[in-house]
Amino acid sequence: MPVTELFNVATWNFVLGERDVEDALRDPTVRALIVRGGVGTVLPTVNAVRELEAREELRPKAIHVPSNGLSAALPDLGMRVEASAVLPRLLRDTYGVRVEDALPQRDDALVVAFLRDGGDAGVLREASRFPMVVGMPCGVAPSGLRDVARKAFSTFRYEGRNAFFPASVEEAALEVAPQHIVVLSDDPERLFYTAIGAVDFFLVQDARLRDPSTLQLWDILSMGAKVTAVLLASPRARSEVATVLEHACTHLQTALGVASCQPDYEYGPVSGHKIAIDLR
Amino acid sequence: MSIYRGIRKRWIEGDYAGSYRPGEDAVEVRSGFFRRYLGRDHVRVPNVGFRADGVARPLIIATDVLAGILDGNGQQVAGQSDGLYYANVANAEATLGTLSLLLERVREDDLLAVFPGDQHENTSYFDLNAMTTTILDPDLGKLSPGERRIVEQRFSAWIGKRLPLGIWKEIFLHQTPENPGAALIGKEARNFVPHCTEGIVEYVPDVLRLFEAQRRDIDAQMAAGALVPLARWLPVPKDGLTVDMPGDARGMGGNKLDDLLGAAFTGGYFQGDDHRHQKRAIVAGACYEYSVRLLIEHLVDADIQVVCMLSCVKGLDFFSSKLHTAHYLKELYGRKLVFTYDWLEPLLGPRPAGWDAAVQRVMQHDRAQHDLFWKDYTAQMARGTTASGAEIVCAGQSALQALRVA
Repeated sequence: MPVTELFNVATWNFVLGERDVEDALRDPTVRALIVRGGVGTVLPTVNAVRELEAREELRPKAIHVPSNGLSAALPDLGMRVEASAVLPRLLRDTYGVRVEDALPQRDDALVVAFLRDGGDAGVLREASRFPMVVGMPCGVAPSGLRDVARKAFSTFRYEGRNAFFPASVEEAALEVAPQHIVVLSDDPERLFYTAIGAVDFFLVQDARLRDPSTLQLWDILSMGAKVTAVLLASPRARSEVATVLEHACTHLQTALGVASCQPDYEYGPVSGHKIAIDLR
Repeated sequence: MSIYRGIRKRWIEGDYAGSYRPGEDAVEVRSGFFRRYLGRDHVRVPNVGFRADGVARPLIIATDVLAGILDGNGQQVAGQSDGLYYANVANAEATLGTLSLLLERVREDDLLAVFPGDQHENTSYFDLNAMTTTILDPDLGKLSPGERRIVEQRFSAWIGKRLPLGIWKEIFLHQTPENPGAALIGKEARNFVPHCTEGIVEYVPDVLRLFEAQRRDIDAQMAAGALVPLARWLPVPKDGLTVDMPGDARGMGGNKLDDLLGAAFTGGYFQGDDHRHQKRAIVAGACYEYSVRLLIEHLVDADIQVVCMLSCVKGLDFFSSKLHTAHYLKELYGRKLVFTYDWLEPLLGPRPAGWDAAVQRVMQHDRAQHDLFWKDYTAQMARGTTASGAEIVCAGQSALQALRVA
């Protein structure tokens, strides 16, 4: 008999803060999770489960995301777009994140550069005028990035996708207490999940002053507007065109190891900013 | 899945430290305070390591090795480091010589070493415009009459709102004997005396030299591309008697002492009946009756074998004796605690030149101090008072007066 946990939340961070979810991941009798909700929230939730499993060295659970349980006010899930456009679109529409090609013209930002290979050294050097947190999965900076890393406010190494998942990055951000966070990456997935992590950072700060479950859509969008995401990569060749829903399901299965996105009419969609996690 | 189904505990063997990923040489620890001395905030901390004969090297923890600068009259010089090691006063610190030899061995032998240091509140660091956690309750009956008068006269517009520090101060701080200026002062200044002030206090030169060498090594690692460099000599801030400072409501921040203890004894092995005794920490620093004692108790709690090097520990001579406190602690924690004036060569390597003479000075000082203390102590116990004349055990009205109930 599945047990449904319903979380009235904006982003993954509050789901993961729930002891029930962490305990469920540690519980060997729970074999599978069924995750439903807004597509822009389901993706980071599933990613967060995967990152927690990796950090705690837990046996990965089978995760199912029935496609009929995914929803979105914006973007239209049936809209046909290129694969490379989906994650930026979700950042903009779900969270209000500013997806830009260049650094913003402001001086009160923290830059979180989470790089796969090193990225555009010129942009990174330019970003050095901000307090900067620099990280890569391998923990060794290529020669072009070493000077940037030495001057950075903080550095980290992390193999996951969301740089805000390791406490060291969130702590560094807390020290800076930024009004705005610019996320730079040469990897679209790291950019997407870290930008949502940055939105979460602001939501957690806000939660000190008001109950996060009372947040309205415009509150979340206003937090997202405090985040700019900049992809440090040369434009790619045209990528496959499909619906947003199809791209989301492909991403869930290929990048996040979701077992299945087949529709399952035992489960319906969830309304509002809610995430439903059924434990099986 | 946890190995323990009860409430979560920090130091359960087999569930703490361990050897997470065989071959991994260090544990990452981040603290903003590292940056002040090491230039970086995020470092990898190796375990204590082993000597060639298989004996684990000790973790060195020297607490509050902070310099104090006194003038010719023995008064703290305003604006200068206000720690409790008075290196500028001739013959004032018998233990600085021995401590210096221990720190030199830390440097020569790359021993893992942690330096907790008080960083008490600095009045000038308060931001009067920042928000406190206090919302002014519309029920003014919860305020004292004086506070209520201030609110009604000056701050009625703030009722029901979160107070900025400047207004909080106006409402809640008054002139008192402990604080005649009604100033924002820290609990240490209010309850004891102003000392070890953040931004003013500084480590003694021997420790600063270690940090400088560590910083150069970190720079070299960063130049070679390391994003999270290795570090063995680590500063740790604290704010009171207890040596560990927990994180905030989300478990973030804190002074990372327990993370460093975890890193020190990760891998190895340092667990189980055949290895547990290899978790050893050598404790030094000041003041013996306060932070050193609480550090010892914290380490015993963490299931670590503690060696208290009395030769490198500064006591407070006004009202105590090292030997007396050693007796008290040994009674309580005898199975996990060793006191010694000696240089333990299997742990620390060859005895350094000058050690014997330096330790003799400390022992003579401590013995003389104990004799003086014991005479006063027995007299005080007979009277039932402390050195300052306060009743040791209060009853009735005097207890209530001390608690401001009467």
